[in-house]
Amino acid sequence: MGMGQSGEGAAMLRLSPQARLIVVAAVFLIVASGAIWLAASQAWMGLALAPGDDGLVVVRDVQREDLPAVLQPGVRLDTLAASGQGDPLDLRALDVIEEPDTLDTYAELNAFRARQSALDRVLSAGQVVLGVTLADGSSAEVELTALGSRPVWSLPFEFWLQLGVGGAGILLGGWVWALRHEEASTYFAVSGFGLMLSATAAGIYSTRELALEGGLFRLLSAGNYTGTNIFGLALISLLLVYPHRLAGRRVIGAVWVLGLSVVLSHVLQLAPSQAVGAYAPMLAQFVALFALIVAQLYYSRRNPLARAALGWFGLSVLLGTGLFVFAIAAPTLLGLAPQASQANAFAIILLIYAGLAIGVARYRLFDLGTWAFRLISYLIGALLLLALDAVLIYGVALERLPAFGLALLTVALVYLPLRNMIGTRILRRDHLDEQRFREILDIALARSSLDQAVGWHELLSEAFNPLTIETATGGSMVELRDAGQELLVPACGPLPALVLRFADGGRRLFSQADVNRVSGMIQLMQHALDSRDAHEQGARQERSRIARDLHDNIGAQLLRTLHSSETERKDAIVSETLTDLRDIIANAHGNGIRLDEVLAELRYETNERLVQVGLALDWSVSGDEGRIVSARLAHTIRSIVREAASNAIRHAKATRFSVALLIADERVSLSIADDGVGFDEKSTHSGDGLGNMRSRTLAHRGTFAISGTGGTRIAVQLPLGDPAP
Amino acid sequence: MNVDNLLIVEDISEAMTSLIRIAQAAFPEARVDTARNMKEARLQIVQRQWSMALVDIGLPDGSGLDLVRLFSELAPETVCVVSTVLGDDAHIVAALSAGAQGYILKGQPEPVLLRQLMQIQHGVPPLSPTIARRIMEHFQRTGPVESEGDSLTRRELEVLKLLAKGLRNTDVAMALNLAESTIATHIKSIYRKLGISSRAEAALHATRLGLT
Repeated sequence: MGMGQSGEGAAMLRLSPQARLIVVAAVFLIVASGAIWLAASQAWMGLALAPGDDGLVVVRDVQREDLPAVLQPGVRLDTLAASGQGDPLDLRALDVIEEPDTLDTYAELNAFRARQSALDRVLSAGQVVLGVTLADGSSAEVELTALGSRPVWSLPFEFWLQLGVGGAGILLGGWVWALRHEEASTYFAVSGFGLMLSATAAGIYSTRELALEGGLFRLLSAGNYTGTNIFGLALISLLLVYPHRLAGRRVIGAVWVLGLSVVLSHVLQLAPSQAVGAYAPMLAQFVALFALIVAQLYYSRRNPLARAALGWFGLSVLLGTGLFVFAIAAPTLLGLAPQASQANAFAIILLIYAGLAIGVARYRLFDLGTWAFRLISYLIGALLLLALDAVLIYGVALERLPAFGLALLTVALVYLPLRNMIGTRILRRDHLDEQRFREILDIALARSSLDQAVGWHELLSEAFNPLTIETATGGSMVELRDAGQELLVPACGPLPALVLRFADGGRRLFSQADVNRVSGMIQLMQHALDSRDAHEQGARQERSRIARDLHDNIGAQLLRTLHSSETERKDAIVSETLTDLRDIIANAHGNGIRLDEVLAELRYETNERLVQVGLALDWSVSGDEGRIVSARLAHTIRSIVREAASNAIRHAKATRFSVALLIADERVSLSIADDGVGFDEKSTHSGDGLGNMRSRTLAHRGTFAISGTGGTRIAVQLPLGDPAP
Repeated sequence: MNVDNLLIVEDISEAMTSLIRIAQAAFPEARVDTARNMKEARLQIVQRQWSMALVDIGLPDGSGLDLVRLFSELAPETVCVVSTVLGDDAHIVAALSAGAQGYILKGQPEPVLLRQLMQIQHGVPPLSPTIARRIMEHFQRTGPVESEGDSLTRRELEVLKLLAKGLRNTDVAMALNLAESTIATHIKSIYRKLGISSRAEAALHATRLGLT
């Protein structure tokens, strides 16, 4: 299959798609202007002529106003002569036929060309005399001046139609080639080039007024014929490799050698007859195309998408070339009159390109993305601008500057909105709407990983409607596989990697837009899963912190209560424990407590207690009191101050109690003093309370000092860092 | 203010006993009645006019906050005090917003509770540093209120700041060179504005949620 070898040949011509398309467009513009120039530089009488039923030439329309009044539509032309010299030439319907290829023999063709040369010579002389038969049957002679050139506006619709068909051919071919530089698209581009060559050449000679110089006619005929064959051969080559490769390059090369030899032999008039030389190759190519399409359909029977794409493409190729062949070529071969105007037949060929456009839009034919639309739409916009500008200048005869302004305005006001409207249709993209957002969050927060997997499955199924979703292995990126038949959705947290096959129930291929979309979904999902994990981890940490605090503080204090004999003391400890419990609950978030908040509460509580017994409190805090400290350290400071206050209240007979804290150098220095009786340092039995203070301090790797002379003084140093638990 | 009668709403028997003891010690003249749940309390509120009520926040059949609201609706003259063991700060601030004029923490030693009750009677509602800080945060969060008179004055903010540092009302009065009764007036004013700003906040919330 030709798909998937992206960029293999791109190295040959390192141009961006835009640049390539511009090159193609430039080629077309040069060819088109050449054709217009050539058509316009022919001698011109100012008559639109047509073959009459009676074998004569009929005036269909009069395009000049300075012509004698007898020349009216319906008048028949009998003879043409240069004014004042030579014998008049008899005019025949054959002289104005569109396509001399429909003649039977080379002899007839050559005679035709000779007459064309003779007529052209007469017309080129300028002054001519026409012998005419009027509507009432009477004859007359009319003298008129054939102009040296023909105004562009006088070129008939058929000329522009064929030029347009040629342009569409090369631009569409070039478009595909610009985006996908590979074998199949190259053949397609070549076919577009052939179509342009064929249609443009035919456009010139088939819309001549009466005659072209024989040599030029022959050249244009050869161009038309060669172009037509290039078109057919390129389509054959295309179907030999796309979608399934049926033949190697050697076979394709042979096809071209054969095809081009046939072309050469016909141009050199070596074929059995003119009709056979002109149309037999065409018929043969049509049969070959038909056979190849059937073969391709057979080979892609297991590949529904290739088949669907081929269906559109094949149908349009057969229909387009078929109509052409049966309307023009076959009747001629059978010696009958062609069934359609050749110019209209070219329009039929555009069907192929309509089929291609549908194929590209729906099945990513040649693996083009939807963004190809943007490229072509800008090009159409630019061409439209040029065309409008030209029409306004030459057709409406406006000044150059206002004409350009008007053209620009028209394109801006009419074309661009239209383009955007079509664009939004074609490039329709689902945004991650609120609903999806909620679904993704729901999946991330689902209880079990099974629920998550099921939810994810459903979400993807809803978003892309694939034919199948299967678990996959490997792959860490969202990727298109098999040229868009499969979309790999990588694993995400507990969600397994999945492969989605055949988007929209097989009606389309996965595209880059789907990749972006699913990437967005995965990003959101990953974020939601991470957030959930972070939240759960936070909750776990919080739980363990609370458990530790409960164990260290509440547990220890309840134990003290249990083993304490004094009721009053028990009450005090329980009361403190409740305060601590409140503290643990109130600080059940965050990773620590602000020291100033702890100290404020401690100051308030201590004051409340001291006031009861008439003790005054001196409280001073200095240093970095806004520090965050661990709940353990906060609790230790609180316990020491409380214990010291209790001692002062119960034993010291003091009047003042002072607490001074200094927070600096990564530690807390706590000095507590009262002006009471103190205690005998020698006989001290350090008591439960004192022992607790000391052991708590040591647990923090701090220092503890106490003296009993002149009141009780306690000095504690506690490092701020949390020691290992 | 004279406390003639006092209603204690409390569901734990031991706590009830302790509260009755404290209440009787604080207001020897007063008649003390009890309710064990919301239902009984509602009856009592309608039946009699109360000088003071001690309302437990966590009741078996509902939140004491609703009783506080009922009091401020039906009997605004009743001094409503919420009592809680572990009630977190947010609940206490909510109770003050709902119209409570003070709060007590049941875990504290009885003498402390006794003194606090008497302070409330004398119009000096105590405010712990944590609650003071919470109230400041509350006002910061709700931002400017509609009318100028409903936001904290500079003086009130100063009082709150000092209370948040752990100073007692007396200490605050000394620090600001004011009478202690002035501090009490400020605190009461803060409570009142807390109620107003909470209602404003609730209204704002409702508007945001599209409820009004």
